[in-house]
Amino acid sequence: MTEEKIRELMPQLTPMMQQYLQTKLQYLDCILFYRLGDFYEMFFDDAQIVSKELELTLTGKDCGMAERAPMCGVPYHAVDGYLNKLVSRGYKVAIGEQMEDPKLTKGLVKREVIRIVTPGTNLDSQALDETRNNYLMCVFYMADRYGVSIADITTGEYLMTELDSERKLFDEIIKFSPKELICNQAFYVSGIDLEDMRERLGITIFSLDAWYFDDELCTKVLKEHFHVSALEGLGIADYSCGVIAAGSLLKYLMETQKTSIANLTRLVPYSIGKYMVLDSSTRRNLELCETLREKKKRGSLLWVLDKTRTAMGARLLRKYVEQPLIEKEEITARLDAVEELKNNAITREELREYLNPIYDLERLISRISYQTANPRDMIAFKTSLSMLPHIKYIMKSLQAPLLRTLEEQIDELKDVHELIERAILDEPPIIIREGGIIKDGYNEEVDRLRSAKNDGKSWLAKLEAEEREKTGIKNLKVKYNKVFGYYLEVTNSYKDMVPDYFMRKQTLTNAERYITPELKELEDTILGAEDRLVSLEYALYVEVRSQVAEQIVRIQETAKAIAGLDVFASLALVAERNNYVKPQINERGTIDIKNGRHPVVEQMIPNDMFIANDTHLDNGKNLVSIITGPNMAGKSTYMRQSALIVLLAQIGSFVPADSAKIGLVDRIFTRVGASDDLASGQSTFMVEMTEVANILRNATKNSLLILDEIGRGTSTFDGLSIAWAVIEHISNPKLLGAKTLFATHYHELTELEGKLPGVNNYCIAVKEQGDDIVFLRKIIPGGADKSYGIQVARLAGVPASVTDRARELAEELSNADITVHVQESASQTPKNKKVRTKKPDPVELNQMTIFDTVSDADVLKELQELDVPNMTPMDAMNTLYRLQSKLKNRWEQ
Amino acid sequence: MNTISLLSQDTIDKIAAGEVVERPASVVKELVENAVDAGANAVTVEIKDGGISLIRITDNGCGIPKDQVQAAFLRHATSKIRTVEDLLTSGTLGFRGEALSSIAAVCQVEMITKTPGSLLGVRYVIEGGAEKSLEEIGAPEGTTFLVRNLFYHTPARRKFLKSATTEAGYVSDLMERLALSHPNIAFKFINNQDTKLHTSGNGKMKDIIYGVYGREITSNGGRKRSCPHQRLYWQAGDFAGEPEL
Repeated sequence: MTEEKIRELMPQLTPMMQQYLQTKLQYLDCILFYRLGDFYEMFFDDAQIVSKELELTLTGKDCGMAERAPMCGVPYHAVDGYLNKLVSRGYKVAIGEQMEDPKLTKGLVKREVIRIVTPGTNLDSQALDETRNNYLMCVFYMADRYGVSIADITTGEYLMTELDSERKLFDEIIKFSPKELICNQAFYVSGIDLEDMRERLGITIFSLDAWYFDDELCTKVLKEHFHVSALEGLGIADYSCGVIAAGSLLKYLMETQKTSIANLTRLVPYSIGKYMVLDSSTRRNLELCETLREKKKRGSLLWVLDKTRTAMGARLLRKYVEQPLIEKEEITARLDAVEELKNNAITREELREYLNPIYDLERLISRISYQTANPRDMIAFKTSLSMLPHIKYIMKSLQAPLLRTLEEQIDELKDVHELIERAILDEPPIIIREGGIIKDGYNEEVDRLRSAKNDGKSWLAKLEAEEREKTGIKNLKVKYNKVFGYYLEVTNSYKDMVPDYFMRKQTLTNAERYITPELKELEDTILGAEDRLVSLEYALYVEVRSQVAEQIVRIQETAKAIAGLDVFASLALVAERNNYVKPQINERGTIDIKNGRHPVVEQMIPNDMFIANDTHLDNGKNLVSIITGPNMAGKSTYMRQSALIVLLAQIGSFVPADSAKIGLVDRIFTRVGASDDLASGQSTFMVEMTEVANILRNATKNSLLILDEIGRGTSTFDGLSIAWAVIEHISNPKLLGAKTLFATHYHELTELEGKLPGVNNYCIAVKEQGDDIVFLRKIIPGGADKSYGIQVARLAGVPASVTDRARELAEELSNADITVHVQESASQTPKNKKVRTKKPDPVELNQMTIFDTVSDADVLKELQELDVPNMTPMDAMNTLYRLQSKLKNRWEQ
Repeated sequence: MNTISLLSQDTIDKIAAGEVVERPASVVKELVENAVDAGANAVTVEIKDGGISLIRITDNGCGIPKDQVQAAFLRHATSKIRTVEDLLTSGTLGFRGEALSSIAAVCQVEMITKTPGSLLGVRYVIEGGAEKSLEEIGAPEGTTFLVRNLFYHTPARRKFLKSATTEAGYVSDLMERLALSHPNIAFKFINNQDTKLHTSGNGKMKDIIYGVYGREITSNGGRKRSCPHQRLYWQAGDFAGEPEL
């Protein structure tokens, strides 16, 4: 519905409709939930949308026009579920409430929008996953600079930064995965794919009016909110774009919640340079927080590490995993904390026992400060607080600096605990307007009214007994109903004994009901007391709640400390259970892992059969490892595990290995797998080349590169050449010089060992047993001499007729072998200044077979089929050697 | 009248085996002691159906070289002593050379083992005393035994076993004693996919007691005293617990 249309229709409509549309005019970009009696109703276009999205019946309402206005509604007591559904689909919903009691108003009841619920500002805990933050992100784009601000209104987190490239912005967006992104018009039209963001990432983007991003307004908003006279006081004066993003975000929150945002108590500026850079494909490929295929937590790194006991701990752990550190001191501080908790199992488990009953303090205190917390929330809060003294006491015995800091940061909040303990009943209701909330002894008036109410009961009993005496009616009863209040009931048999001062109120078949002035007076006292009690209890409850809300800063600090403790305890527990070791951090760039294991795969393999492997990389002789060997044999697992071990170390966690020296890495890049981005019109190869371009341009000599099968999406020669050139570039310290694990199916690339400095060959060990291959899953030095592609195909079940034919063809093709050409090219590499070193032999795994299936006939057959005239002398020597080995091994058992 | 004659070797083996292997807990005891002798510092024991259908013991010890795998399962063959005199100085738990052959005689055994020096591991399958296969495979360092279907071909013995729950209880008790008597070894005990016991193997007795018995016992009864505790196996522990233990 457009503004013009509304103005056009106005004159014809009923007063109520006009009132509705007046409000709607102010909220054209939202769905307006309009409270009418016991329902929230929507009209016109809103009704159409909602009826479709929520599958509700579309009806109509007379509004003064010829045709009825489309209408749709939900009952008020069930509104939350519908609200959450709409919001999760990306809609903004304005809640228009009745501001007056309809029973007391003449004419139209006043209605106002009290709140706008948007995907990023949904406070309803039912809609939220407690282990994840619900972020709202604001992006302000101007002159090639991006101001970015992020807030979670449910936990009180409020951050700000500035970035200078679109790529970095996207990485941050992926990292935070906000539910809602607000921005200025310039960003909105800058070419981002909105549909894609919604569909693939679940991010709804709204552009805001330009006035939100006015420099003066933003500064003013921030200064007023934090009560400072200048931004220098907040330490953010230098962030010109960041301040605008932060200010407009805050303003947006204020506009939607229509209150002051009390729980954003600090604005924290940060710089992405403080953390390891992980682009979005790396986060996905390494399966940090969710699996690649099913996007589930189970099977991700986070799943292995998360043994936290509190929701705040779970969220903080996720942040740690998403943002590994790059400073040695910070990392070592975390490692020391984990170590102490690992070595003191009893202390740690006691702490975890006390952490368990702690509820989500961050979200609770937010609800308390937004005045939406009910008495049960307060009791949950109190229960959580009662754990704090125990935790603090136990922590006093810990010595690691980070743990000491956390212990000091925990405020026992005894005053808050006491307040709630004194004021609120241990098992209160959820509803706050029906009494039964306040404890005896907290407030005199409450106690008095309560006894009036209770005594009232005994007074009634006394009156009943008295009247029975006075009138002699033995079965006279005092009863109550909503219609008449209290009354005296007399059965017909005694009707005649009723005195004059009994006023008859109701006749029933077998009885008569009367009231007396005395009875009615008593009734007023009792019911009056009840009403007054209920409203007094409400007022007192609200007061207690606000008093608690005032302590928000102390509570948030304590919550953060508890989260930190929970995370370290979780990492320590995992380190003990899964047998991890403390990594040694160095700044020389040497990575030396002995018997490293993949943290996730080792948990998933049955019978503890995971096979460990070493990794050695440095910025000198072991810069680039070229890994050859068949697919499915474990190359990808090996490379991922190397990356994950480095990442774990830089998170501050212990690692799955016998020992690990970790040289600090500033970025990890992965180029793994062929994901055809057909939807965006890019072929596999194009995607791959884009990734490679990104890597080559942005990697530094301190980066770690994981490259799996570069060059796969195009012709063999092109692919091989590109892969070769890439390795030359990477291994040259003047051009890049980054540590790299490079898996490839081009075993021709093994020629590069010895020609290029720092390049070494490894292969994944495989054993042939006749026609089949067995995966040994060990990484060994040397290049694989075959790619075993055909054997893998057989293993996968491709029909024998196909694989046999393939083998024939492979032999034919190998005679026009590119290996020979490659060898020649390699020796002519212009950059090669070294003396050509002896090429290391490909590993002869045949020598290790103890049950050799080679028979005389096999050897003779091979001999017969040799194409001697076309063999080079080198070939002839190799063939002779090979045949002889086969025969020899057979006889040496 | 029946004549006296020598029993067949197969029968001898099976009967003799019965003296070593009574129930799943005996298999566990033998194999865990082997693991300890192999220098492992981490041992995982997993059972299903009280150990009657499956017992898995994985250790990270020194493994068995491929050329000694078959010999290991022969009766009276052992690496732990050479002569009778060695018994006096023996530091190992096993020495009779009976365990593996007995177990193999009455169960279906699959053993996967790899020594630190070699690239390849060995997988050996032997059932009811008869060798089924021997091949080289990829494997982690150490040894894993998969012992299936105890007494699968001696139904009389199988009938004498108690219920799966009871047998599991025996194994569980055994695991507790083993964990306590080897505080430097990290033990993990899994019963029907549930991890029931997990000790850290960090050598600190208090931590191990905590791992086995839980918090209450440690805070109430974990005071060091200098009297030996009968329930502990080899080394005399110097913790005395409250009666609830």
